[in-house]
Amino acid sequence: MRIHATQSASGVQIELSDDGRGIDPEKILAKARTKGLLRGTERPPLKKIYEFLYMPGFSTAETVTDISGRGVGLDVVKQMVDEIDGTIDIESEVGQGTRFTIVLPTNVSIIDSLVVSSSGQFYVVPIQEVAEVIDLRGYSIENQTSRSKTIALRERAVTICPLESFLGDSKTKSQRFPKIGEQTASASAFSNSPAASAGEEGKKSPTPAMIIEIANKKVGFEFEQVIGQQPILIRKLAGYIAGIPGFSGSTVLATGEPAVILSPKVFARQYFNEREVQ
Amino acid sequence: MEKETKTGLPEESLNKGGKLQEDQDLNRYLLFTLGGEIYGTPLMAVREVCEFQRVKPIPHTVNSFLGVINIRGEIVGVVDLRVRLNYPPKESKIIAMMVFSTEEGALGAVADTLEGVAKINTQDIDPKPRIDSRVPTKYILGVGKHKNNLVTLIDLREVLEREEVVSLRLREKSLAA
Repeated sequence: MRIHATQSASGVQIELSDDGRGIDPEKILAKARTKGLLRGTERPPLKKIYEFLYMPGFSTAETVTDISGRGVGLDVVKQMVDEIDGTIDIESEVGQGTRFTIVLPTNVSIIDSLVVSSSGQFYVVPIQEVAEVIDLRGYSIENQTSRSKTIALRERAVTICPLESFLGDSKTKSQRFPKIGEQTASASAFSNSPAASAGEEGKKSPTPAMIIEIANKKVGFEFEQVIGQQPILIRKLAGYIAGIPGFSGSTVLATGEPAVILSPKVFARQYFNEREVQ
Repeated sequence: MEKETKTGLPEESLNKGGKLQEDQDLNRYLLFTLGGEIYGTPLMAVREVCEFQRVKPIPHTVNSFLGVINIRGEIVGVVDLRVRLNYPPKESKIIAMMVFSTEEGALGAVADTLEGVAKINTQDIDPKPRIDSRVPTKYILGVGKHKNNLVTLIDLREVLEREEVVSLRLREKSLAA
């Protein structure tokens, strides 16, 4: 019995092969005939013959013993593979052995993303959710409260909130476990980090904000730094951290570091809802 | 550590190895320490032991949840057993962590130190110990003897299976919404 798995861009291929007695197509045909699935002398191509094996209750084991004919039916395997749009193939040679080839597609979706930092942590934002990224230094602040400020963006007042205010308590926790949560100067991991060039521009480093637009309403989220633009592979969040509003998935950055994918549109909706209540 | 730590399929190795192998596997425990106390958890329930790596904190999670790490492309949460099992927080140099498969995905657990694998026979385990422990009694499998030390045997996978990671405040908030 041999199990061999390979991974390609489109999926995972698992080959299970043995050097047993193989699957005899004659036996399948005979069984199909006694079950009334085939008429008379009809003889479908080999591939079709093997397909009978995926039918519920179709076993070539003549008698059910403690060992034989007891396994999980191939129909169940086929059903599960079908559910995730995979394929299963059988090759067999009587007296030589059998090989099952299962191809499972990896559910990959790759999106263009903006990698940003907030409180020293990297977050990933899908670019399609961001209307634009502006540098707040180029705008005059019309109005400022402790929680937000208002700028004039092309003659429209836009409120800018800190992205941090949606990201809770991560900072305090990493302080509690300095050895574990130890933060290196993480931005330096990216060579094209804008922090490196910030000095040339003069006194202050950029204060970027992403502008999010929902139903013709705009809000901005100020953050620490634009780290870069990167195509990323979206992964689901594990069950135990799923369900945090605005945390839509996770990914592994080019540096190997895991990061949460944020949905700024969810934060924007939260912001507009809260404002309506007030 | 021997071969059984490598296999990710405990059931399978049990079936193949037969009765004797089964007994040996079930008697093996992965030993770790917390605040100077020695604990053991059934080895067969441990998916793997991996090198400690920098944890990426996740906002809106409870204090015992340190964050996530990347294990061969898989994003795995990490729980601080000190906080989870009611020990006062303390800095310690962590070298390795245990990884368990739970129903909601893989979860790592960080103790003060990992000591290795020990065989503790059933006759050396007191299943109903009268001990004061920080660990809730329902997770305690017994107290075993190993090289003149008493080892508190706990079902760590079970502890992690019940892990509530997202902070209570946020849960309440999203329920109210």
